[in-house]
Amino acid sequence: MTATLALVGHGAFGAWTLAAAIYAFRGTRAKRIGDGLLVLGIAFGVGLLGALWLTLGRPPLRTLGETRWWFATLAPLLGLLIGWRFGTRALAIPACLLGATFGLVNLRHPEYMDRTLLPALQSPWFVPHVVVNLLAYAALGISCLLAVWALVRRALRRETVQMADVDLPHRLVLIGFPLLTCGLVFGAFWAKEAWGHYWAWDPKETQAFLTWSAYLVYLHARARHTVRPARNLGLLIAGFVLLLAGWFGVQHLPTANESVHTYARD
Amino acid sequence: MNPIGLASNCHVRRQQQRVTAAGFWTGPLGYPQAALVTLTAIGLGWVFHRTVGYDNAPVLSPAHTWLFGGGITLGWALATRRWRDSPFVRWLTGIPFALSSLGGVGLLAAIGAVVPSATLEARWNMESLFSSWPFRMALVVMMVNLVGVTARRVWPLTWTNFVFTLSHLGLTLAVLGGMLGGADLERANLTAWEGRPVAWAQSKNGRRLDLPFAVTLRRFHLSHFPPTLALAVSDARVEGGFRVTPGPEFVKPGMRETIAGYAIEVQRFLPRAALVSGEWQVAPPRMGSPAALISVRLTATGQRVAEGWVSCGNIDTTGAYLPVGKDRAIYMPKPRAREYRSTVTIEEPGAKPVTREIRVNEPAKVGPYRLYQLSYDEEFGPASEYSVIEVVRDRGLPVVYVGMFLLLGGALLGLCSGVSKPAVMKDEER
Repeated sequence: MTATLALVGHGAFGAWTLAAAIYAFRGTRAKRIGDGLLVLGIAFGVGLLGALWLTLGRPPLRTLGETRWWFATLAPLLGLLIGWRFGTRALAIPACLLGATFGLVNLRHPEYMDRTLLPALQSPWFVPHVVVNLLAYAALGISCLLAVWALVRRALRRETVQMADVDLPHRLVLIGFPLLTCGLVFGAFWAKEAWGHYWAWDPKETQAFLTWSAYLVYLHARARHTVRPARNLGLLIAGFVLLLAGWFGVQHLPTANESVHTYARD
Repeated sequence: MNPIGLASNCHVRRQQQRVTAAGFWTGPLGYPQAALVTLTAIGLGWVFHRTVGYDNAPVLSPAHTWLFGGGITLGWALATRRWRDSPFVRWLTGIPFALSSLGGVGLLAAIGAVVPSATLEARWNMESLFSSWPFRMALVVMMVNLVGVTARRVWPLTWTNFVFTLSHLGLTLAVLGGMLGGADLERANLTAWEGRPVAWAQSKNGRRLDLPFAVTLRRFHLSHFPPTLALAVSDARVEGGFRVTPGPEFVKPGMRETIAGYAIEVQRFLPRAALVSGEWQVAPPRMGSPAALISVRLTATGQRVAEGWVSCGNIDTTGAYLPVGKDRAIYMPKPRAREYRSTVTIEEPGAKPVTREIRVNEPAKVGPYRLYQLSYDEEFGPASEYSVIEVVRDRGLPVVYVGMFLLLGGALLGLCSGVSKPAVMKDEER
């Protein structure tokens, strides 16, 4: 079964990589082929998650590897849906790149091994809390890549960053930040049922708070300093770096053994 | 230079300093002033930490805490509403102040996330940074801004103000409920023993909490997931001295799996086994540990490497592992807990005893208290004679929950407006 999963994973990775390359060409035909590959990659990703769920007999949201597959699938999916909603394909390349990168990391380091689910994770809040957070991560990840691209493109052309450059990344934050808030609140409800307190300043919770605060800082700074697009884009990048640090870095902190909910390492 | 000139130069410099110092506060207030206020509050918190401490701090009764804290909050809200057009109030409730105070809380939170509590305790005599005076003061500064801006924007009730108020009022109530509720939060561990009523619990810092009810453990139930196998390779660079590769499959008769180039087949599996006279045999009920007879081959060559018993062992049975090379062995890690729950009887004075089942994620409610399944005697596992139950009473919880629901409402409305932005982007823009 592991070999089959790896094959499906390679299919998703290949589809997203190819889609990102084809989207770079201009022309309606290239875009349509790109759309097809993007959807094919999503189908592979969803299939892989479904197969994992059935194989493991539990929601595949426990290990870092499992959450990476969710992110790899949700980023292209959100890129497609939000792009369709806003009438643009500008999200397609960053979404495909995120999917391909996270997919590749997982193919190199597959971590979906363990079928067990600890008692604390056997909660109705488990799936909504993690999935909503990962949706937020996907939106904010695409936003970060768009911000990086805007800064790089303007720097290469020796141009000043324009306010229009922040428009699309900002729209993604307006979608990602409320989802992040929902994830935080769902987590608090769950923590109350599982551990007796809704907020205990556990290292993981603190990292979540810091990430949330970073985007709060961005939203407030943008509300006051709309005329500083380069700085706003910088804040978006910093926010996502903090998010990644919270997601992957908690187990490497000196406080890791004080945390009751770091991801399983195996 | 003549002495008069020197004197007049000094005078001018002093006057300039005075003007600059006055200008800092009388000119337009912004980020530097907000940052200074935040840092001063944190510094003041540090002074409290070093002087007043925590045990000597004046403690108000729960009712007075809520009256005092709620009164000050309401008073500040009314004051900001009344003087909402004053430049000072606008600054206190403005974005520079919001960002500075959030920065202060974030900075301390970042320290708390990185520095272990043992280091905080040893270096600064601080049990937890998040219950320390500096952090409380930073939160107070943040609340000054949050309460003020919520009161300022609550009226007129436009759509924008409504969404703004939902999220800001939600956060205000959640933080306020947490701060005031945290002041008299009762949280302690009760060790429930079989057939022995217990009416007290012990908090993390060793304080005894007498309860208005007694808890008796009737039955403790623990079930495990089936065991798995793993490969351990000796490696001095790794913590613990072994690099472990776990196998994905649950052990059962006939199970086959491959772990890092070793094909393993389970020949026989005994869920409860004991080693008697050098042989693994079925153990009596409630005794023994899982054991499996396995054969191991190299996947590359098909060569048989080893055959023998592996067992995770427990308090009364020795475990066993199977060497498959000079520095490596297949072993059976201890099975993970699938579920644990306690059936308890709760007796309250003047009431009929009731029997409740408490499990992880499903607490029991007794008056204003909630009882959570926390842990058990891990050494004895299913034979544990006691169960540790956490007793929590949080008077601030209703306020916090109202705040969180408002925050959730604000987030959902924010999401709707985020998605409903008009489509203006052109493909050419990428």
